[in-house]
Amino acid sequence: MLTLHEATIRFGGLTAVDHVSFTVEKGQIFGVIGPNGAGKTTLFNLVSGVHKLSSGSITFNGRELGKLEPYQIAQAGIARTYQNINLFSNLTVLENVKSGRHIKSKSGLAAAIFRTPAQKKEEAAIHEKCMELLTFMGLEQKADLLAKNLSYGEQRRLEIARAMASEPQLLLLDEPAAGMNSTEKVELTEMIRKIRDTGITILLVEHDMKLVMRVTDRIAVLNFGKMIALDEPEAIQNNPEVIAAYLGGGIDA
Amino acid sequence: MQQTKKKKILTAVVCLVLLIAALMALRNQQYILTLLNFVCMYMISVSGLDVLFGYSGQISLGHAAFYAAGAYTTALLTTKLGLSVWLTIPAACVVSLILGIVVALPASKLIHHFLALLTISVGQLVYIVLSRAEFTNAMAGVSRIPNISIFGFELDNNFRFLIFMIVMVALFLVIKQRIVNSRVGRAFLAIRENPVAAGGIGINVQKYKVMAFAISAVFTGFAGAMYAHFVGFISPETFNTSQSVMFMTMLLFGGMGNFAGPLIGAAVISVLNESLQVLGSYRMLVYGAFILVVLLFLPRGISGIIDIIRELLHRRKGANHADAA
Amino acid sequence: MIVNLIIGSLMIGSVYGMLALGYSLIYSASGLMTFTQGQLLMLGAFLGLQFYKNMGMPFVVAFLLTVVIMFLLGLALEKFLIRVLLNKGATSIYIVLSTIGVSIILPNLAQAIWGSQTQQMPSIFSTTTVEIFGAHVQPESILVMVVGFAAMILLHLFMTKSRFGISMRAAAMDPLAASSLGINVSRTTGLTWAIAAALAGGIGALMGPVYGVSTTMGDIIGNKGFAGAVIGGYGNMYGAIVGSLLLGFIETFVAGYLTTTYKDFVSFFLLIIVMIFLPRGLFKAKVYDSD
Repeated sequence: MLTLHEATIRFGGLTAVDHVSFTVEKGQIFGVIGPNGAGKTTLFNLVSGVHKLSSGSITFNGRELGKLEPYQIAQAGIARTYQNINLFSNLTVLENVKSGRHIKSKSGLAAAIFRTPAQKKEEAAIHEKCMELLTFMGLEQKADLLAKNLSYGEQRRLEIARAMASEPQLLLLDEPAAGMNSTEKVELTEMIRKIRDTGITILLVEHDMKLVMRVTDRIAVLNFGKMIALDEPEAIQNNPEVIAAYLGGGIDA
Repeated sequence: MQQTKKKKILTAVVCLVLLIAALMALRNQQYILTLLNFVCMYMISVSGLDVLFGYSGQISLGHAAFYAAGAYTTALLTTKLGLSVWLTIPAACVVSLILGIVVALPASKLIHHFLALLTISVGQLVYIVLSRAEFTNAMAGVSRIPNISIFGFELDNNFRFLIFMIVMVALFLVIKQRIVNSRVGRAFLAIRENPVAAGGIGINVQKYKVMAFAISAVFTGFAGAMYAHFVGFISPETFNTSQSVMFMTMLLFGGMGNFAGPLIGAAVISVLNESLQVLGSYRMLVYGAFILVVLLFLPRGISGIIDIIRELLHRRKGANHADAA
Repeated sequence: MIVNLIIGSLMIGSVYGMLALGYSLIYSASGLMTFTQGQLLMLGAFLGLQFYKNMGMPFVVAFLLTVVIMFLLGLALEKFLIRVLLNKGATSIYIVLSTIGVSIILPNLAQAIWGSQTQQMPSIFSTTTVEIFGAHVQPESILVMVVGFAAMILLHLFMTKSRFGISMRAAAMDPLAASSLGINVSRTTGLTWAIAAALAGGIGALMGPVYGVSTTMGDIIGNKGFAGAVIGGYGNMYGAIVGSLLLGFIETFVAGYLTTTYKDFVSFFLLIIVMIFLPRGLFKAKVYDSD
């Protein structure tokens, strides 16, 4: 579904992502791990179009993503969340999710001004779908609160809900467990599985090793921008090179 | 649901009755009628600015340019070509729309302070052209702009014009509310709140920024056209930077990103403006001070205060519910 | 004719340059924009007029007094408005709006004090013209130029050689790191506002004898200075100077050979073109380097 081929990006003298190649299959939960500064988030930014490749290619369902703007990549069916939470803070929880329906709806300016029956129907459908999603993420009680008034864990869940509103084929989760307590992490693990079970493929960058090992089907390990391993979770845990890279950090910390 | 709808209709009827009563009482107060006509124009214009700044987060300090585009288009077409207002007012909107798009195409790429400067520059460019060019009669302006007439019914006095303006304000407000409460409006809000995340969920940020500019320009251009027909005479002086600043002051004072803010701002500042006439040119001094006071002490404008009060009441109500449970 | 135009260009260019330097200093130190520069220039001109003409001080004293007062005014502006707004969490667009508020107040305040008439400032030198390459030039306009260039060089030395200047640049590059090194970031940004005001006011006082002094003199000049800064590459000191001189030349020559009616139009048009096609200005590469 998503294929990186020799994906490379340089910032000045630094090669942040260095000839990385892997393929994410449909229906997988694919993890990307690595020590701090290994280039994980940069890799995400490449896939979602925030950064442009220096060389190599990224294809999604056979379509080259390299030249596309972030909004076009979203329209192609890739949604994402952000490491440092990018919600629409002064909008309500429900409005946040509704804005995520943008590419799945089509009423334009004229339809809005004239309140055409089609537009009304679409708005009703958006409302229903978004409430459904909020229920799915356990946020239905908070629908009318401003996003900025949610707790940290709730904000992370809201970001996932907003991303899912666009019914993506591929969902990029950038450190979704950051700042969560252990109960929330357990819930998140369940949540990620549930999302996959709805037919969405997941690419996950995460620091929490336990969570990654428990939830992913396949893992790529980055170190200094290079991919040093690509395997099943169990094999990764026993890979000497990976252990060496994490030395001092401790892989099952 | 049914209950709230009934309530809404009831309030609407009450408001309408009050409005008609007020109008009948005022129908011979020429001074007040004139002032109210201006308030209506500003309401439309500032609501347009609100779509741009309040909803999509793009600042404009050159809205006088759109006001001028609307006013001059209808003024020149009616006086020089003798066209009907039924053609010239839509033409005024179209010209403003085009100017809006032309400005927005480069503007949509700029971050806000450069945007402020670009819009100021556009405002000054338009002012320079109006005050120097022959086809706009330079500083002399355009006079003898005809009245608007609707199927032979001529809006030839303040009272008639006001009735027409009230209908227009209602129309433009309905349009504004429908836009901001739609998919398009959500895109504007998303861009205002976080352009990166807006792009990330598939919103074509540049396209919607341009759209916000265009809508805003049409609102303000229409108001400009109304100004031309109401006063019957226009000259460049009306369309300089201080006009743009006045629109912005109204918006800031009233509060932006909501329904009532621009209306309150337009009304209060217009009245203030009138009562400050005695100060002559020192009026601007008060404006400047006003902007600072609002920024320092009322960052969300008057409607912000209303929101805060409402929130407090709401919270108390919520607490009562909790007690009951 | 040519010599006159060149001198005219250099003179008006260095006026724009003084304002542009202020814009750039403030932007590079705190990422903020101000629209007050033109009105500060106007205020400086009136202060100069007040001390020199109305109170009969020697010009040098009047000039220095003006610069000092403007410097303090800049400090106050930062401390009592900008800093207050920033502490309230205002975003940069609100800062811009607040400076617009100030720039509306200043000319009206000046009008309340000095009236709306354009006032002539008596000449500083006893000779009315000096001859340069066959052109007759008012000595005061040479003074504007000389002081302008001297200020640019002084500022360059200050920024690169003095402890304060270096810490100011450090604060601009990385406020967090700078404050952890013991640099008082808010004081250095306050200083940039003060220097910007002093530059604008000082050049305003010098312009008086050449252009006369009026409450509207700052309106267009302020935006021209801004244009100079943008053309040069906003936030870059050297770009600000080059951009302003370039604008001075283009504008003066357009007025000399093409059209005086649309002189200002050309400047603003140029500004818009630069913003569209070259948003980082002429000194683009430099900006990247200092980043």
